[in-house]
Amino acid sequence: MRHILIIDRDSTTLNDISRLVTALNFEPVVLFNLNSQNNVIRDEVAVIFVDIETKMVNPKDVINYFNSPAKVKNNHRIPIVFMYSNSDSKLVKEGRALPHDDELKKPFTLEKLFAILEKQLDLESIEYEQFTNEYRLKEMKEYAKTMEDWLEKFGSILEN
Amino acid sequence: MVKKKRLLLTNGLLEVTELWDGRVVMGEIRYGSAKKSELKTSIHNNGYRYGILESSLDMLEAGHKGQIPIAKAELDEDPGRPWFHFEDALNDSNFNSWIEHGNFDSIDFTYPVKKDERLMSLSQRPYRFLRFPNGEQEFISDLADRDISIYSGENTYVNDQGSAVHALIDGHAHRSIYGTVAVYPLRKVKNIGKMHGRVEFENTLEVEQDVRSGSRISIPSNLIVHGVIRSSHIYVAGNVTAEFGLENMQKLDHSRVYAGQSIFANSIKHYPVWAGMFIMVRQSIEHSMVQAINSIVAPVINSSEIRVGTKLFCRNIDKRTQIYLGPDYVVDPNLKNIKNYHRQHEKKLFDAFMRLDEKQLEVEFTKKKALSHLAKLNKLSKSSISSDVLLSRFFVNIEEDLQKFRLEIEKCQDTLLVYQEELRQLNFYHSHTRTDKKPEIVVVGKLSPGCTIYAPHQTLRVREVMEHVSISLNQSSGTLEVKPLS
Repeated sequence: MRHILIIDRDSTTLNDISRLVTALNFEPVVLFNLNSQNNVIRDEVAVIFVDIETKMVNPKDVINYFNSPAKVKNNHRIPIVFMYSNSDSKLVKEGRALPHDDELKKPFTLEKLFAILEKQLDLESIEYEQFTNEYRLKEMKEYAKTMEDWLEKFGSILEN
Repeated sequence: MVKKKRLLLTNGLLEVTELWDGRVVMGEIRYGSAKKSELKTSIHNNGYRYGILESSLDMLEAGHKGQIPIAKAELDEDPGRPWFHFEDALNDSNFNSWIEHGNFDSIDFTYPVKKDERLMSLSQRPYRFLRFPNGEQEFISDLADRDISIYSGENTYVNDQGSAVHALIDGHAHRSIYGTVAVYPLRKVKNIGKMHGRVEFENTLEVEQDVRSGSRISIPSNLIVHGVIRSSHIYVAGNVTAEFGLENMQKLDHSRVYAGQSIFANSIKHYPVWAGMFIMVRQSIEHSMVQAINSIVAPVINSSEIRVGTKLFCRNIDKRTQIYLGPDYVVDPNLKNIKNYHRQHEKKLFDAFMRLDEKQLEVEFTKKKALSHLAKLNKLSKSSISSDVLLSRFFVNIEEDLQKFRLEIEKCQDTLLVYQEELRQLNFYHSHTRTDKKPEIVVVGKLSPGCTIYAPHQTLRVREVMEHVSISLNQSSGTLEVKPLS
């Protein structure tokens, strides 16, 4: 899990989050809408930041897409952080009623952002090995093996 | 815990914030402005020396408002402590006794070895650590299973336990300044001259008489000359022994000696010489430019330019000799090329991982489509599902994508191996050039007026005779300290 997903259009926010998560050795991935979700593998996502004020995406869809009961295995939910700038807006009030893990009011300092990441990523228990090239290659090999097994099962459906 | 520091600049204030126990350092120009060089010096002087994010400093110089990460902790590897058994005679106590007794009789840089003799083993295992911006290290993992074959060069093998490198043949051993051990068989010749053309044997070369003026020798092992090496171009990956010295009395431009490891000679006259380890001279260095990454021992030095990384031991230094002291002044001429290759491989590795990510996404995407199509067919009979054309196409597509993915993994693995070997070589080079030993000049006789000693931040011009002195380099300040010898 090394991707931090950011769903927003505001360049300042995108830059600030990207710079900090890169310094923490994670990789920022930006989505402008859920149509481009094919660029994301769910198991790779550690935290999702979503702006609930822009109408580019419905926060409810984000929750359903990433944390629907069918996708949550072994109780592994992806933490979702809602971002907003005007706490009185209707969209924010509606969004807050949805299940989420944290909130970040814009504009924010990198210290505030770090505090949220520290809590949601549980940085104290993080294993640095996962950021090494060998580990990444090992993960890729494991993925290829899993896919081969899956393809075998898929093939057996066709044979039957 | 968040730790803050305020650093005063010439025309502004930089606020530095440490996050995650110092693993990430953020900077913000609270007021004013500063050049990148000033920012860099300021954070360097405040202890943040590693993992500096150059692009962030560029942004601060350009007037970026707000905090920005300026340094971060980085993973690094300690290559372990390789011990080269054939060099046992070169340990510190032997070295000191040579110096004390002024006796070079037991010095032998030819390193003859027998088949199956152990050449190298690791005395401390390699490990991975996290280097904080302030230089602190946090142990991450043991790399005991790391393959040591990267130390194994020509005509050597790694033993079955994978713990040591042994000689495959009888011959002469040497190691490069990047840590690779190799053995080459001996080849004896009477003499070498210009008429022999370019001498490029895959051997240790023993010359019974002289290497005559105008010769060109380039060998991957040791060179043993029982006579004199005169005005020749010598490029040797291992050690050079010249019993009667190196002389370039004709002062030919192409004459130079490069030894990847050490040089032992009677004298050096008018010769540009470079050695990756030691230079031991029985009598004198005169009118020469001599460089050694580790140490130089010579009783007399006259009218020469000396560049030495760690120690210079001598009796007398005369006649406007210039000495450059410290590891910054002696660099392997090939280092730049190796670093360039390493950077290219680093980029190649990054691209390889990017391609892997893309291929993985392609596989996942086709898998998702196949699954959603399968869900649509769910209510049909088994035979209808198995005969569905679209489903078969998905199967073929995934199979092809997976094959491409596998190929990319293999390419990435190959690049990673090359990258790691280069990294190990560079780490070895740096651990041997940046030792804990304090660079020092020891003069047991006299240092004459007119000589100059250069340090990174000080130039010492000798105006009066200095006798029995030690001149050492304070590496943190880059200045020289002169003390009488005890």
